[in-house]
Amino acid sequence: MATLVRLEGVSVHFRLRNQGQRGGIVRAVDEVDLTIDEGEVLGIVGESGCGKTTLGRTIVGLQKPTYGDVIVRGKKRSLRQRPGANAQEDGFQMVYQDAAGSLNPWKRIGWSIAEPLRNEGMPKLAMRDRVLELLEQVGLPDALIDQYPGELSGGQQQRAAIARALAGRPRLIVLDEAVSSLDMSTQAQVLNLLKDLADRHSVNYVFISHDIAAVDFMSDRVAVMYLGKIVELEDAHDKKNPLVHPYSITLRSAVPVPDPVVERHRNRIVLSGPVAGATDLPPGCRFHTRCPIAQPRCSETEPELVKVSATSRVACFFAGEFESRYSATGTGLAGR
Amino acid sequence: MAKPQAQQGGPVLAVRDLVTVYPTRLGAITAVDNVSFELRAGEVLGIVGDSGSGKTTLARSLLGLVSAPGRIVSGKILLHDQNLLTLTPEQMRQVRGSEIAMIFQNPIRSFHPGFTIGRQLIEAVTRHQRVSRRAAREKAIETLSWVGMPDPALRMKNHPHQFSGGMLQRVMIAMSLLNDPAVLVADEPTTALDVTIQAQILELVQRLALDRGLGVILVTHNLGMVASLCDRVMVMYAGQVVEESSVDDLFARPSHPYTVGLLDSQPDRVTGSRLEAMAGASPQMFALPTGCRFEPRCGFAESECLQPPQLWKISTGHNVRCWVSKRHGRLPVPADTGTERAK
Repeated sequence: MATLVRLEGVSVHFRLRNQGQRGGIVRAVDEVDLTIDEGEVLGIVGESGCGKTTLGRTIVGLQKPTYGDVIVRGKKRSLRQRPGANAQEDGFQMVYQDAAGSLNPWKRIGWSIAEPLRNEGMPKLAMRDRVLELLEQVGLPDALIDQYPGELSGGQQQRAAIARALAGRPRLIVLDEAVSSLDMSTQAQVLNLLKDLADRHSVNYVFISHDIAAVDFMSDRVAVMYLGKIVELEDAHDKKNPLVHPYSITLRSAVPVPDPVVERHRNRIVLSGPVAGATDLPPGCRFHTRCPIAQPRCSETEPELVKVSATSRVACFFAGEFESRYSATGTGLAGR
Repeated sequence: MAKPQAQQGGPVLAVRDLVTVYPTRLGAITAVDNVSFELRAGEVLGIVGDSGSGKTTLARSLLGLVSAPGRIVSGKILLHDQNLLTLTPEQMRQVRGSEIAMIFQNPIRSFHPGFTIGRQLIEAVTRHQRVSRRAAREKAIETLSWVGMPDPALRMKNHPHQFSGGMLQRVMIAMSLLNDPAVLVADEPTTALDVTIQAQILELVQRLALDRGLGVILVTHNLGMVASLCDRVMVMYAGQVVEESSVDDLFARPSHPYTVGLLDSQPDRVTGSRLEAMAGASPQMFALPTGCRFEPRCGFAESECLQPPQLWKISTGHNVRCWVSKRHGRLPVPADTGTERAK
């Protein structure tokens, strides 16, 4: 499979303004290596502040990396360009959580969807046909073309935002919490729509969410992020090798499953330690302050993301030993 | 104020035929349409539904917090056999926070940003109890430590912005518990929090219900939370309760097509590559179907569904507002799925 995007040692650091030259640096994304193959859906899961949105923006080309290279179809992305220009040149698009906020409230839906087409200089007549075609693809009625965003429901607005992302026939769409604000039933409709679109058009997704179930459903590969680092990267369809990083396991155990019988028989792993801040990262593994199986070594050396099986990479010294070590502490093990 | 002890098994809160209406330009919207239920001490009752189904309005109605021009037009809310709807606003203020308390989705917006949380907690005690400031302070510190706040005495001096979201939600839960309420209404208490923090808050709420015999009403759209936390569930659709049962029954034998659709929409319940998404969207509240409100989206619909259904009992403790379930005792198995590609 051809590689669409490759990130090599990408870091995105932000300097905190109010603290002057000595000010803290937020390492939103820190030395991330990642590839996205053609035709693949990459899921990125993590909690707020872990850098998943910044990583998504960097992949699209809306955020310049502080260090490292983004290589798109074998060509290194230049750093001097205006950030938006990169996304346009590569044919990359982004869809945000707040669909209402990404559509101009004073313009009709058709106008907003046609925005990338106008930028391409498409003639007006062709444009209307293309917008109608896009509306059909995302399952919206034609009549919506002349309506305003405020007249649409949340699910319809999100479909319109997806239609606009599709307008320029993108190679890759980064979906940043794109279904998180929708009701369950609407969320299911939009997830199905995204899957259909991926099957019919050759478009890649990067699916960013805090919802591990939605990420599992959508993705071919899942990257788990914690404080700017990818701590685990693995094949989502490989059910034999479930996630093994202590953070991934905790994350999964924290999410209640819609099944009362399962819920009653499991013991949730509840983290206790302090969350390390992104400005003053602890030495060693970033998760060791909260990790239930942390050892002295974890606070000294930072583990690398290493291959543990054909389909997965993990950044933990004790990968695969969670269950034995956790139960050794006397607490019951969370069921999966 | 002495609290009447909840009689074993008796409901602490009983709601009868509650109707809450919002007048709008397009006509009156009945956001809560004839809702009745009971809540026992130590019980966690889940209220599930899509946005606009009336679940939050129902929760706010219980505390007399429906914002104008919305108002409760009929029904009864009986807390320890006292009808809250007959109270004056001042009497209601006394009940609210002392006997029935609420926690909201966004903790940071529920505190005054300019005062320390200690001051706000102490005020919450002295507002309802005739105690000294010192006693109120001790009560506040004790409650903070009870909800798992490290260094509670020190944290009393902090302002709301100095807390993380999860910690502030704990402060809010502590505040709601200061006056030992009988009922806690939690409206999406963890939606704004990260999942690992969410797990901590869930544990806390569960412990409260068990140890303190607190009746909890949990408003949520998250079926995972319902499964892990609730004893009973009410499913709301377009202002009405469409299904009501124990949590096990609801997940094992969902009997309203909307409930079935909700369960099928869960990404972690599917094995295939597609979700069984419900078609369509919730109806406009000012243009409701005359019959069953779910009928236009329903794959089981028959001719009698054009008549309004009632909340019928189909087995012990399991009520469903569905003609088809009423006739068959359950939904017919070869579901001519009302699911299709979303339109």
